[in-house]
Amino acid sequence: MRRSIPAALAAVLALALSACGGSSSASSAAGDSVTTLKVGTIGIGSDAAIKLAIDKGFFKEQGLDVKTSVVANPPAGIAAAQSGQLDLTYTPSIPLLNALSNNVPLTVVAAADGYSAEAMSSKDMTKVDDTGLLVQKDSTIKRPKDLEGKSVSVPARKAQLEVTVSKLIKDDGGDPSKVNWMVLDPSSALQSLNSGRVDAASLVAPFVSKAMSQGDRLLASPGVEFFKAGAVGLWVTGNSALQKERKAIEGFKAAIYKANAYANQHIDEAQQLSAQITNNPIDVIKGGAVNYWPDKVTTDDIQRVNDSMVELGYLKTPVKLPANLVL
Amino acid sequence: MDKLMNKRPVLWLLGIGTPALLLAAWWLASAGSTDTFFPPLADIVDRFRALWLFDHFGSDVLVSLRNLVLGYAIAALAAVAVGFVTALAAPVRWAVDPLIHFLRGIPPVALVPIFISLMGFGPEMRVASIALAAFFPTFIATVDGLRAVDRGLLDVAQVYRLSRRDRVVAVLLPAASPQIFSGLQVSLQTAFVVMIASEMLGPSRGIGAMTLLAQQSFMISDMWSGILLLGVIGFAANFLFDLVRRKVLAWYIGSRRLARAS
Repeated sequence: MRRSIPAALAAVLALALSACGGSSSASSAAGDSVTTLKVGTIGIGSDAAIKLAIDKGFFKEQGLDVKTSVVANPPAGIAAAQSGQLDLTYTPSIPLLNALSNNVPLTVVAAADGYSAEAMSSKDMTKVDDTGLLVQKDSTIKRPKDLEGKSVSVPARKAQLEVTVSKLIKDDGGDPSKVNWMVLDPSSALQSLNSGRVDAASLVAPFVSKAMSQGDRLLASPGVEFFKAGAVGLWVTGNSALQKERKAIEGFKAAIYKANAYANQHIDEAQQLSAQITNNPIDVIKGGAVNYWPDKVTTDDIQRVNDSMVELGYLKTPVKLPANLVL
Repeated sequence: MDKLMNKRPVLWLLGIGTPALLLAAWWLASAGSTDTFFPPLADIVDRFRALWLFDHFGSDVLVSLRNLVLGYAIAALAAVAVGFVTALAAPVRWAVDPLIHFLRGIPPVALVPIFISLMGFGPEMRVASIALAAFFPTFIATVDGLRAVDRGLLDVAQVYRLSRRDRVVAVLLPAASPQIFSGLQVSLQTAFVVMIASEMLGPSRGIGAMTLLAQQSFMISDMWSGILLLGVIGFAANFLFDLVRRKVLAWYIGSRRLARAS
């Protein structure tokens, strides 16, 4: 028995050594041939652009091999990007600001999704905004202010939908702190709305169109009213990846913007991919909001959100955005 | 026996010293840490005091503990009762066995959304999830314990013409209790895990919900303090359980010691 301990130690050591060897050889291959970037996504419709960049060889043109993996939620992706397990990850601007306000150093690389300037004047917001606030068909709730004291479902607390719906309520003269927020996954939320267990549900595509096809009424489109035209979803990177792979990340930025432009011009093709990524029939995708992939992201896009979050009390003080926040 | 007595203080010292040493090592190693995800232990303890001892004790800690205690108590009583009926009545055993083994194969955490659609997201959903998950380990241990009761013991009970009630209370229950208690211990761990998981959905109240929220909004010291609290509660629950077990099973532990000594 005593002899087996050094043997086991040796085995562990050998494993550890080979693991080190493995990772160092992978990163040294970054020289002049192909650099591998690990990218976290959350499996939503707008991931069609990064999928296009892979399929159409836009990354290859930049000497990149992009490997995507789906993370549970944006905060988990940010944690992985910060620790170096991922080189880049998808996050909307609200979790990004939460992270920055707690001193998690991140750099915005490119826009992943958002709203176009034309969308602002659209007649049918469900064609533009992939988020929606829904109530039962004959609910007494007629406007956001009526949600005071009611229960409203959100996919996660203090995240995008809670913040955007709060803004709707506040702008309508109500007090969002009187809302009883419930964390529910989209299918439970839809079911709870229809059975009357929650008074309103904030949902994301394709559940917005599903709810409407079941007779629920759209009270508001919180996303577009909160963010206005500009980038919402972002590709971000942690400090270690940026220092190590700056050139590759700049290549990622160029390839993503090429893919964003391609996706905007080939909506049908992008929607087919969205259907594949989200595992929904193409009709459901076509029935919902049409994604928009911006061609740039500015500090203003993020500053606007920053100010609103302070106004609503989700941030105590505005986050001081570093000058080099956007790559 | 004497040898064992002499070793006692040393063992106690080890039991208390090791965690204390680990905590000291954590404190020293993390002091002055600037890594957001691994803050200094001093900060974590600070947040621990601010969050759990005053602010959220009534609104979150007690709520979680109440769910845990209720769910676990229901599970323990039901599991022992159903276990007895199942083990002693062959028709029931044949009817119930397949269903039980089907249900216990399902990870308890996966049942939470189903409970939500059945009973909403009030505390009763959380208690029911905990109770169902904690039921199976004790139930299975009870049935196994009863099946393993010495035939000789049952024969003696027969000879003395004990009533059914006496047979259950005075013969079967004590004989199966060591096994029942090991089932109860596993159930306690399961109940604990499901207590946390059940708070991931619905109103964000409870230790698990608070910890998850802290993690998702990058309040990393708060998250660590939540994890610390869960650890402390887990330790305390196990400690209490052990006290009860020692008390109830004193005869069994004593007889085992005698058997070993001879």
